Amino acid sequence: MASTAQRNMRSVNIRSVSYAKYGYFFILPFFLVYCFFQLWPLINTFVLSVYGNGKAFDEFIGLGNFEAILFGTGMGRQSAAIQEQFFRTLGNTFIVWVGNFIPQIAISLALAVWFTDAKLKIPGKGFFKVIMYMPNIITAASVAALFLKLFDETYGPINTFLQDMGLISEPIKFVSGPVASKVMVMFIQCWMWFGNTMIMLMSGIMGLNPSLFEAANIDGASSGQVFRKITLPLLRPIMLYTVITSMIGGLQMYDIPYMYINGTSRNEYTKTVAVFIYEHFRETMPNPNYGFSGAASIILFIITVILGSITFYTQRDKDAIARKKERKAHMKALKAKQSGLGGMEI
Amino acid sequence: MNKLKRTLALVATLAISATAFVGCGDEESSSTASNSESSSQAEESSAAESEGDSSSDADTPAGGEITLPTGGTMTILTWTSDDLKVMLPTWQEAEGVDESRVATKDYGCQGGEASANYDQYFLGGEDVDMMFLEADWALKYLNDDDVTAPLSALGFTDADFADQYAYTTEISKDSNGVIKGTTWQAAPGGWCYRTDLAEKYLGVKTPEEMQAKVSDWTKFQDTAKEVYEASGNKTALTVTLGGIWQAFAANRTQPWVKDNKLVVDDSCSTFIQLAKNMRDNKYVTEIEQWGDAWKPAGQTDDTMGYFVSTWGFGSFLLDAAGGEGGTTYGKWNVCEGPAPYFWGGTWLACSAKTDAADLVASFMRYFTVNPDTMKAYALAKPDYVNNKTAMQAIVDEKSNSNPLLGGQDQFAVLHENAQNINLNGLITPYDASIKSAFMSAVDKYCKGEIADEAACIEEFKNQVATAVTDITVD
Repeated sequence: MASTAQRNMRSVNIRSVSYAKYGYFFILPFFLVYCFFQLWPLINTFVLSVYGNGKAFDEFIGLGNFEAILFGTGMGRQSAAIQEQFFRTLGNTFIVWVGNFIPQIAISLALAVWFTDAKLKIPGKGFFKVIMYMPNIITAASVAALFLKLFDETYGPINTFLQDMGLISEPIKFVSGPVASKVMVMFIQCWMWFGNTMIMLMSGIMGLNPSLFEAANIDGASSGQVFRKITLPLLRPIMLYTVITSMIGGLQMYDIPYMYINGTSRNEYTKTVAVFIYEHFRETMPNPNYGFSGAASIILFIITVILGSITFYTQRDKDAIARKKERKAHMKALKAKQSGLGGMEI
Repeated sequence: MNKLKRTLALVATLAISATAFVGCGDEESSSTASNSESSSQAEESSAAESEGDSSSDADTPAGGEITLPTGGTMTILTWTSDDLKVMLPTWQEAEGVDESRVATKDYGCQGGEASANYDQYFLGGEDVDMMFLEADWALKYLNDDDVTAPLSALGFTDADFADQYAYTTEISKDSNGVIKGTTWQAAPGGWCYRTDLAEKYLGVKTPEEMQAKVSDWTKFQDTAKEVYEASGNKTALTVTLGGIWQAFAANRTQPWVKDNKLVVDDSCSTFIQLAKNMRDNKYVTEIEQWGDAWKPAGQTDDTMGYFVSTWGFGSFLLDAAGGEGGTTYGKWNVCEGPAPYFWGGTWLACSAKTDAADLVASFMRYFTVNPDTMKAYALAKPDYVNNKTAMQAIVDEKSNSNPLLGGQDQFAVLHENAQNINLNGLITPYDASIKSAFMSAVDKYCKGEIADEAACIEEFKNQVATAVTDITVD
């Protein structure tokens, strides 16, 4: 009887082993394509960052590009100018990201809570969700074109309207003004992405255990209390995800700042690091500055890693870590106890 | 059976992965193959040359033979089919060229982006015989003997291009003065103004009278003041600083780069002062070239004029007038303006690796050398062709009358300007980057973001230093 069972088991084992390796063949094409078209270019960025610019693109210069960008030394006028450019674009990137993220998360959170609140019974929820998600479906190019037409500095409808109403005497420089252009880019980014963030937060809220909300209701908690004591703490993993993805996206912000320009002249106030990288890689004639572009990309990458780690560290679930520690300590104590008794207890 | 299935699956997988790499694999192998071929060819030919140098010289009399390979398919690299779609059928019919011998690689992008696409294409090592080049970056390829061939190898002599406008031939030369390109169009520009406003504010009735009021930059500014004051501080003489710069930049007396160093001469500060004066006094609007307000401004009384070159009459000036039958359609006139200049244009060059030199030579001769065929093309397209005889004939016939300009013949005016453009020794491969850096600095100064002229020049130098790393900037 026992031997038959054994024999059956063996034959099952043999059959299951024989097919497994074909799976690897099937996923092989993806990995090959990935390595050649994504992994290698990624590594190549690091390589390019230690080589020269313009005609000297094949000349190894070590950390010269980094030195120029970060400290503004080593290449005379060039390095000081490139440092100034880089830090100005970096500053723009941070200001525009913070300025779009704070209102964006506030609006998305509020809407997500209202839309998921069973008590409110908002009519036409689906309709509103679609409308709010809509800006994200439109391509950035169309959005930029739309806003450029609306907010044109000379004959745009918004300026004309404001002037006709007598609210302003001179047209506001929505596209080229130092403050107004930044605010516009923040607004466009916020408007494009709040729907997306809202949907994400809603899915997070709907994943929470409904009995917690019921219990809170029965105990007579106000909706403010429910939000602060139940929704927010439990939503932390999703919030963390949102902050990190938005931050990475924000640091790489490119499309709107690149296209939201007056004619062919790009102003200094909305130029982001990604635009800086592109300009040096593609728009410097006749020879591109691969070195500066590569070095700036690497610096941006390092900044992203550092900020991501900080966010992750500060936002991590402290209770869970404390519980884990406790459990470990408990297990240790248990083990010590067992070994102390020579395991005789069992 | 099982084995067969497995083998089939493996084959299918390999086939998929193979297709993913077919592009790069193929290109690499073919390019290396062609490289080795061409290098061996080059060796042979150089050997042949050294053996019979004197005999080959004797064999090819001036304006004679094509020394590059012939008989293959002509592949044309371009970024727009606007011109080619008219040119190719005309030429094929006239010269009896079979459809199968012509191929076009059209990138359908902006002229400024084409260069990067070309670089990619050249890396692939595929067939290329003729390429379209933009004046801004033509020198990058004309200076590179591995990419473009001298036109003498196609049997052209300098005398063939004598009838072209001098400035176009200057752009066609590489840094050693060898002609390596040619163009079928010239793009001289003039100054277009609103006739109704000119009469109202200046009492000017003809283009000649207007020209007298704007014949140099000092008069241009004086007239601007007159217009602005007469209109009750409303009308600016011209619409964009970019337009003024377009006309001003063609009249520099020194190249931007000399001995690999940036040249900042008096013309820079002259322009900075001119721009600041015009902008501060609102003699020029704050509108940007190619911006959303640029064209609509032509239908308002906010501005009186545009700098327009040959191609602009059919495109942006037409839009500025509101299209055919628009608000200001027919209310424009053109005069030479403060300085002769050109704006735009497309050049042709022959690839050094061509295998269809006969067709390239025939195409170039048809559109850039032969006055009869060029005149026919000028009238058919219509375009402003790069041939003095042909354009003179068109002007003399007085057959051209442009309803946008109230019946004026813009060719007669531009013909004058085109002959006065002098670019001798002024062109460098860095012009596009340097010009845009300069304009950007001037723009900041005019907006008040930079304190004074010295700081403006400093900003200009900084921008050039970062954008063009190949040259030194003090």
